[in-house]
Amino acid sequence: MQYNYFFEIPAITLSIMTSIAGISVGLGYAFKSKKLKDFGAEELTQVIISSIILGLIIAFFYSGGIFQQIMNSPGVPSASVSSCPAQTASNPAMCLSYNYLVGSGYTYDGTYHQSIFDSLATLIASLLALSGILGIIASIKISLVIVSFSFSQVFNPIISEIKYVVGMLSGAEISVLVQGSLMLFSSAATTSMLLPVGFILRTTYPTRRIGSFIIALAVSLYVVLPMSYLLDIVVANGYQASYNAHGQGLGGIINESESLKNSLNSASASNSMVQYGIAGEIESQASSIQSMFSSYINSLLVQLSYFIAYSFILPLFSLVITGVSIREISSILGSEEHFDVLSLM
Amino acid sequence: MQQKQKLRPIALYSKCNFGNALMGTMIALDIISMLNGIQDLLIRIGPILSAILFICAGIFYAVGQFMPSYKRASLHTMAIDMIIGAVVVAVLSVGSTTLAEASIHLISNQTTNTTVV
Repeated sequence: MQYNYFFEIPAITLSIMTSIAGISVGLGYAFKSKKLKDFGAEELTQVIISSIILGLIIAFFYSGGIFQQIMNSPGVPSASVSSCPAQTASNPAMCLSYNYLVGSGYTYDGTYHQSIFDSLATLIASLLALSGILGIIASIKISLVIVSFSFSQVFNPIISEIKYVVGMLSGAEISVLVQGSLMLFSSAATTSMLLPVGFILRTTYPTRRIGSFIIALAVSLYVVLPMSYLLDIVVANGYQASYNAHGQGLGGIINESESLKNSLNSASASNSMVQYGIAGEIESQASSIQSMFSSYINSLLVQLSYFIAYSFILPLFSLVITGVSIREISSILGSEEHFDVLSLM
Repeated sequence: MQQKQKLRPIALYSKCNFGNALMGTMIALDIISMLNGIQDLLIRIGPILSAILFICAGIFYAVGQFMPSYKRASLHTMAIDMIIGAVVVAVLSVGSTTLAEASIHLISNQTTNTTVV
């Protein structure tokens, strides 16, 4: 059995505040001080409210509680993962979000999807390989009878385009990594640190609002944020069947470029002037690569736009939802409530 | 003293059962130690304060017996208020510890062999 300090810390804190409130009320009666009596009654009210909040959170969060029942309900789209990092193992939504972003991928509606990070990394690797080969080709000079030429004018625009795309994809990759780290932090810190600290702060009078905010932050990070990523998964799979097409269209271009590079290398290595026939063949190969890339560039840019949506737009949407929930929950937790019975004291 | 002894097994159980040196666990243990210290202090203060109020109530009542009637009435009223205050302090400060223990045991039993998500 794994014991969690989340039970012990709030319970001790509430008992401390009950003692303080009792002392305050008692002294208020003893010395006929209305201020002390009111303060004590108010603190007792807040202890009752905090106890209710604690009970609701336990009922919501503990294994088999409402949160897990929601996750397992038929209304929630089912997705499965092969493995979870240790920190996220207890929260299915967090585990799924992590695998969607940077983990080992997930299965949705019977289709396996790589994580966004893996897809980005594969595409970037393919583009860099192509860029390297084209760079080598562009730097090779071919000598004909009286003139020499190179393919730099043909391939430099392609290399520039690849550099631009790789730059954007790298930014998307960093964004995805940051989000994955946020998931791990949420898993590790919310129930073990933020919630107990928030409860302690909420129980004491001067720090009540800060405590409410921290509790709201913990609840939002642990529940709302991963559930919003679940929504992102549904949206992403709704308009694109699979984003596994990472670099598959590049395979043919890379092969053709390798072939051209080898031809040029062997022609250069022979240290003889190239005959017109061979030059024509090389030129047609270069033209073929250029036209293949021109055909591919559209799908590459579409892929880029999808990755930017997955890495920036949808997470921004998730963060906005999380921010709004933090604000609303903290205003509910920090609101002043009065029980008429206690105010008669 | 008995209250203190009752709380120690829980703290010890907490300390012994959790062998993994996670940062959050270490921080939680420090927080629990600090809170237990504050609770011990309040457990000592509560009954002492209650006893003081009872004694003061008795003194006021006794003094009132030697006073004229109008003074006697006010001193007796003060004594009764102090007795009420002493009872409230005793009940809430001592009973809160019992409530805390009962809550922890109840919640732990409810969630036995499960992990808080």
